Amino acid sequence: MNRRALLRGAGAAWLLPPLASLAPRGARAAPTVTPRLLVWFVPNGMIGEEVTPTAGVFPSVMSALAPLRARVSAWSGLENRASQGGGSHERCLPSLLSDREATNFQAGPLSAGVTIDQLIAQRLAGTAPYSSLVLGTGEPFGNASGNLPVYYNSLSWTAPVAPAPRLDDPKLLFDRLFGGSVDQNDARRALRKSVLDAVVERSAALRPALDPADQGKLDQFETGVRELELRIDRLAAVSCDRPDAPAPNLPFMERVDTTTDLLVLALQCGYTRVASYMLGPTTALTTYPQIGVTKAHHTISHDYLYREQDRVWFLAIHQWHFERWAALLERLAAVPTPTGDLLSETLVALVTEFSEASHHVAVPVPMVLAGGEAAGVSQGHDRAFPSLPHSNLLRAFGGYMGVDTSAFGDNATGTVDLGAPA
Amino acid sequence: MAWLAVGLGGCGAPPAPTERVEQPGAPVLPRLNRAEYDAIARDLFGTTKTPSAAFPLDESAYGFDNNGAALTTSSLHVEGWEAAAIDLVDEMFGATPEQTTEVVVEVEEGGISFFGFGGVIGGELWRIEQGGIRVGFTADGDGQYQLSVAAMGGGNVPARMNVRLDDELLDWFEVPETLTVFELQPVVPVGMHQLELELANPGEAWVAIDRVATRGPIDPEGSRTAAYDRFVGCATVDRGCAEGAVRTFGRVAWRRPLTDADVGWAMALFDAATELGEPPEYGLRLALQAVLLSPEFLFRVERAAQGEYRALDGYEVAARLAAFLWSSTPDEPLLAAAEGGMTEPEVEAQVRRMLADPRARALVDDLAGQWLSIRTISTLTPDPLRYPELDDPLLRSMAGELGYLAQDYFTGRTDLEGLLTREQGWVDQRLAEHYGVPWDGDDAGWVQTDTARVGVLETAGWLASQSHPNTPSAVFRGKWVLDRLLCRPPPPPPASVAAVVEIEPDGGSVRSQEEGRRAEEMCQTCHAQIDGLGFVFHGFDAAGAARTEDELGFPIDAHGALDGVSFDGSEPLARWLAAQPSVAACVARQTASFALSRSLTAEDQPELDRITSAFLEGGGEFDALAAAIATSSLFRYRGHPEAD
Repeated sequence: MNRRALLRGAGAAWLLPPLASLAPRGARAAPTVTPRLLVWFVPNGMIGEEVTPTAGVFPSVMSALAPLRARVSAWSGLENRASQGGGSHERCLPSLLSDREATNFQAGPLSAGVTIDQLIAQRLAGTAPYSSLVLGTGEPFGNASGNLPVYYNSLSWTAPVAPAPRLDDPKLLFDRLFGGSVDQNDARRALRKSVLDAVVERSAALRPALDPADQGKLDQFETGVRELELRIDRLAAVSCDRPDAPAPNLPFMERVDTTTDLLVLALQCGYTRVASYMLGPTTALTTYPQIGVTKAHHTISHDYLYREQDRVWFLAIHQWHFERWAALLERLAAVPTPTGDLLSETLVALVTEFSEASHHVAVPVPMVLAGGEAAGVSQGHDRAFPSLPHSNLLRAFGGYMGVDTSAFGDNATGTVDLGAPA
Repeated sequence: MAWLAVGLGGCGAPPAPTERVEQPGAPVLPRLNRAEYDAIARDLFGTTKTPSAAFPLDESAYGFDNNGAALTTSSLHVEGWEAAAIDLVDEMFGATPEQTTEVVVEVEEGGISFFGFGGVIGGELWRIEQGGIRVGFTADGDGQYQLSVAAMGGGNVPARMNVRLDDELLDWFEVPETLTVFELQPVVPVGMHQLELELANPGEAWVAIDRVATRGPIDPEGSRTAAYDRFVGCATVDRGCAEGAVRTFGRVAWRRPLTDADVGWAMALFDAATELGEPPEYGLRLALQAVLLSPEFLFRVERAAQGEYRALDGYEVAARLAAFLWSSTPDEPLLAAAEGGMTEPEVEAQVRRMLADPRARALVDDLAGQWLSIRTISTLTPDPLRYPELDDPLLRSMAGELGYLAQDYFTGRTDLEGLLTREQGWVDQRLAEHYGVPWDGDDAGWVQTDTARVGVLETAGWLASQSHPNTPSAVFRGKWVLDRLLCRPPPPPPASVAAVVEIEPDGGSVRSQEEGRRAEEMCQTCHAQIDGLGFVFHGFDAAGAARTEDELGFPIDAHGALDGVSFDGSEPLARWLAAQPSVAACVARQTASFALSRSLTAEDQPELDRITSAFLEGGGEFDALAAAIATSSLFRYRGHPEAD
């Protein structure tokens, strides 16, 4: 049996959404929908017209999505206005999920915005063992001056000065979800938590002696400890069979598949309700040798306008990403839930930072959504806008998750109705 | 072509002064990064484990991943740190979790069988009036097991309890009226076993059992590590021993002596555990885990300057020194010096001692690893069609050479000039073949030899690290020199241009085509400078191999220029750079930024100038630079003089 078959086999052992069991007793009679959000980021942009369906028909790079046509909607005409007219990777990535201008690229403190996934995670903290999972695959970009590496590498931000740390190795993700032994002994579990309590106490006592920016770092620490404390209880309520561990040191393309498998399990088993996944930093220099692309992705994303071979490669990379994304959707759709399938409870957003990478165009940016129907999302209708702040859609992610995001987004003019076809 | 108009913002000029920094003259509370956590685990526990492999990635800013402002913390970190703390402390106590199983039976939750008369009382205890209970357990391996029973007794006479293993009497105990933990450490063969607890004097007394635990296989004396002897010492843990251990261990972990209140904080966990019936050793393990999970361990804490300009105390200076030179935590001599207040001569003496210590190898991995892009080499994905020879072993050898060159610089076998211009490189067999130089060493060894190249900029590793997967990059190479040796990083390219100039088969040499394209419009503002430098490396391909023709067969033209000085090839450039005070100033700046875990600002410039002067006066030797940084006010004070 191969690795993926094993991971899938584990999925079949799933019984009830653990989160549903946390609902008030009276609510248990009817099946409860637990909305989940997964943001899937493809770096270095996509060619806008190549990812926009015509009269409902997917263009060729999206053909893997054809069987899922009724569950997918492509959105066009969304604008990332906080990218300041595009212009560079460091402006376009941090604003992609925050609609907040990032500054201080070469000097000064980090300054970006809280991203929609992290805002939702913060509001829903405590409803799942992990308030969010922030994942990545691909070498982080370090060869740049000032704060640029942080902006290139970070899709999700928990605060304007704080990129959300991400796990980059599926083996680590596996160890987090399935590797630890859940301490079933009440006394030992209580002692473990008393250590964490003591540590929070310690941090709080230390805080007044420190400078303000240092206190902010302790805030992050204390939040992390408290979340772990909640997790110890929540994890005891999660019952999911343990799949086989993924092999270490997989090459890039296989790491994406393995991470995707684990992400589905994480959503399915109720480990988290919010996840973001970067398939590389913006400016990623990834090569895709299995599909014949031996030139670096970022380089191709600039050269495709000038050279036919690069365009062919760029589209091959688009297609590969859509195939991976379609496989993810199919995996979610194969998991039954009391209300339908896991995809119907999970709003999955494919995002990228440019609609024309060569000139760093972020107005407009393409987005493709799938799933979430059990929580009121209407899919299968592509939506085209002449000009709409992309944060209007990001706000709707909050609405979908039951979180008030009416103050989110510097350029937002409202929210869009995910339930109504255009 | 639709060029977008974006301002270039002073190409080649240093970055504009910052509008504000978060904490002038101080790093934002640096947490341990991955390298530091592992180094400290090694130095405190003597472990060969690398706990940080399970931590999330560290961000880097201003060239280094120890920049406090860019290092954030999430629950994923805390989870990893908790697991690491448990693991490290277990290892010290000789309990390796992968081999040791612990089974705890709370009698009220089942898992026991009984004979005679008895039952649950008070919801928690199994009271035996006659007979006893049996608990089955499985030994995963041959060895010594720790059996512990929490019980209390009563009656007309002291209660006595027999403990049998597989029907053989191990021992008997008198059971007092308060809940007490009894421990036995029998040798048990692998397999299923039965533990029996029997009331020995029924009719005149009773016993009540709270829990039964088995843990093993253990070897409590033999597998305790040297760290146990150093921090704990006592053969059997009791409260006094635990308190001493917290004090001894805490001083090294927190980089300062613990106050009585600090010790009391950790001992509260010891007490909580023993009150619940856990053995004292378990209580101590919890207390030590808490020390490792406390912010005083995980962050390099310095008291607020609160707008003032204050001298750091000896321990704070020592902590900075250990992080700078070892990526670790102070050792005993450094802590002893810290107690004396770390006068300037003391700091200087410590710098020289620490540089001679093997732990200073961290400078190669962390400072040079990032400054000289050594870490980048392992992440390269060369085009296997264009560069079939450039496999992982060769990339590792390339990184190895740069590591040796950096090591020579940090240990004083060469100076900054030598780092940039030395004619002796380091090769193993694979790299010797790549360079085409004779190999007469043994299979696994490294030798220093004439590679017909000079300094780091002509190493295959550096040249490959500044290349595209399928072609060398004059832009990457030129930009690196401007950024990392001259501290004049060019701004990112405007929106936007082709990243790689389209090379026509019949359009002339690669260089002429690239230059032709970049001569257009706004590009040449920056590229005249970047490429003017980068093309001096044109004689080396993306694998760092020397070549005389470009990809199209044209002869190599490796002329270049910087600041009005012309060079033919990289060797004259390297020699020129090595003689520039501005290069020494930039190296000092980057080293100081690493040493201070923060970016440097205009306010730091006067002191930075003094550091550069000392570096130059010291002949460009690294120890002079390190000592100048460590004795500077940037390093020994917090805040800025102007803040007063």
